[in-house]
Amino acid sequence: MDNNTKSKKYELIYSIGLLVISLLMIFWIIPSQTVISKTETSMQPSAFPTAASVLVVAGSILLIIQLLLGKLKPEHQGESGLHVKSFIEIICAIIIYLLMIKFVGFHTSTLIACVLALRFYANVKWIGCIIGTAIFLCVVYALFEIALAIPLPKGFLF
Amino acid sequence: MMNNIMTAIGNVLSIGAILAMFGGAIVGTVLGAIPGLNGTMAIALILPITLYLNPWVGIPMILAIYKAATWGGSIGSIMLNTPGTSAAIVMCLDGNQLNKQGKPLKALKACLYSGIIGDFLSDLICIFVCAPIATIAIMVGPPEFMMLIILALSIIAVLGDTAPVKAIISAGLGLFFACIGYDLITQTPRLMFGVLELGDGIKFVPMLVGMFALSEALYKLIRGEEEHDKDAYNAMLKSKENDLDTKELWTNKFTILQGTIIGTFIGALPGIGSTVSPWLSYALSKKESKHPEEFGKGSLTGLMSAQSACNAVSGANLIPLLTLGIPGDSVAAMLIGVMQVHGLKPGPLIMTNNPVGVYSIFAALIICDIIYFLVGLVSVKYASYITKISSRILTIMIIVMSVIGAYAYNRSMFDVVVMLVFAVIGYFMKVYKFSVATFMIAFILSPTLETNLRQSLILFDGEIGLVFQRPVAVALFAVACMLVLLPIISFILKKRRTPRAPEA
Repeated sequence: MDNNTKSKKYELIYSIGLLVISLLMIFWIIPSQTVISKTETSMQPSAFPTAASVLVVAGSILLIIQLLLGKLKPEHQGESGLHVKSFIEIICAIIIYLLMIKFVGFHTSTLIACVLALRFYANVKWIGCIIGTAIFLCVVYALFEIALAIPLPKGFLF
Repeated sequence: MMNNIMTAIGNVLSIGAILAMFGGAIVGTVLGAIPGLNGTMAIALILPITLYLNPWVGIPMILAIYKAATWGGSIGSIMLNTPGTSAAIVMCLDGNQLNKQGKPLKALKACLYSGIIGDFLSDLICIFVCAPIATIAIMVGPPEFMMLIILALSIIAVLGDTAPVKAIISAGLGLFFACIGYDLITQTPRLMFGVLELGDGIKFVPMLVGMFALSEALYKLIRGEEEHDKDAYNAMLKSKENDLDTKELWTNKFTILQGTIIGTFIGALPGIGSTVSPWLSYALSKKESKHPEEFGKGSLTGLMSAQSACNAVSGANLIPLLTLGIPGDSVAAMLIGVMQVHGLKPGPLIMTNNPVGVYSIFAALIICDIIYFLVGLVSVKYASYITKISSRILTIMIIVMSVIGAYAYNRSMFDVVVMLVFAVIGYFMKVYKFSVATFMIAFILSPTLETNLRQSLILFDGEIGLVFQRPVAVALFAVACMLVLLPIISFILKKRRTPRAPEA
């Protein structure tokens, strides 16, 4: 399957997905997650999100029709391939970093994460990683904690 | 009168005031450029100090931070594809493209010069036609605001760089996500799923940082760096092509003037000016351009038209503030507080009661322009050095700064999680060529649109059709319809004119 056909296939899949999700929004999620107001007569709280979802439904249907008729220009089509493995790896790494910030502390977590990222992703030498990260963290500390008085998260370490 | 003007100029030309303005310009530029931080934050931190200072040190400092941060936001847009403010989103379209072409200095200078011209001219307009513009601004009510936002969204959807149908979907998603939180009028929970932190809705700054900064970093990490000829890029960085020619600035003089006028008049409308005016200016200059295909690919005309409109708003925002006592945005609201503490009461009688105060503010506006221009010339040189940093190191720094920026907004890890969620959404939007900018603009304008829609319904007792009895609202709606229908009509007419190929 060539790249163009692949990207059309993914376009069709997510357009149908968007359509299904928007319909779920209109008929299930919005009615269950908004309160019907008895005093508000001009426009219920659910009206605006429903109108926005209808816009998404209309757009999804038009997109599906354009794709089936082959009317979507190639420069407006998405890229082929999802790179699922890389995506999951990167997201997991960021989630681990955020959990470390919450439980260990911002400065310690960032020191470890930056040194490892600079070494294995940016191919900087170990000494450069440590010195560069230390300088960066000093600047962040001075700017945020001292100058702007915004304390950054502290866990059981600094 | 001359006596008052001379006293006012003397107030603002003191050593303390000049130093305060320089300090404010530096702080505004730096904070405006950092993802997640902005001028409003800096002003909020400095505000308590200004209450104890001479008013003609404090107020000029606040104005300098405000103006410099508007330009600083564009540095982030151009160098990192991360706008510092909602107004700077449109600068990403062409500014970042110019950076990728090896012309970051040209883009930065184009923004600085067009911004300063827009700012200066807007201040002059503010000084001379303050009262008439304010009178027009108060004639605009909820129906007109509603139509203006519909017009703005139509422009962005139709004239953006993605397929119009995808822009419609992006706008719908942006409008939808803005509905999360307590309902504006009934204060009942709406789409909160029991999460109390969503009571105030999704915070704009974490979302902005996620969708622009972190999603860009995710894209580079997952899909690899964009391949480009490094030698050609480095050669372009050192060439004259990377600098802004006076001829290029002169060629765009009418574009800058047009942007200034749009920014000044739309900026005078409280609440929406800074978001809507750069887009309107960009869209108009694209329509008028002989080479509209260049927009979104590094067009200097597009960049300058947006920046001049963006900066023109800062002076225009003071029009409703000074003449009617109505703040146009959060910075103007903070300025009201400072002015009232120092005995300046904004409103219709300010010219009569305190002419020196008003002239001092006008003088401060002009002198701030000169000072932040000087600071801008230095910052342009250092900002362009960002290109010398390896893009992999920059990606890592962007991730860390995004986390800090999202956390710093409200000191909440929940905002960091929101940032990550929208980074993933922004990544998929980028991969499938949906317009992130349309999504953001729709998100920002959604509360104003809904409020004005509901106010219009209350005004007309539920008969929304009565909106069309207001001429300004009808005119805005007609322009919006034309923008949407014109491409379809011209396509149909073109098809009819093209003769069919003879059948074999």
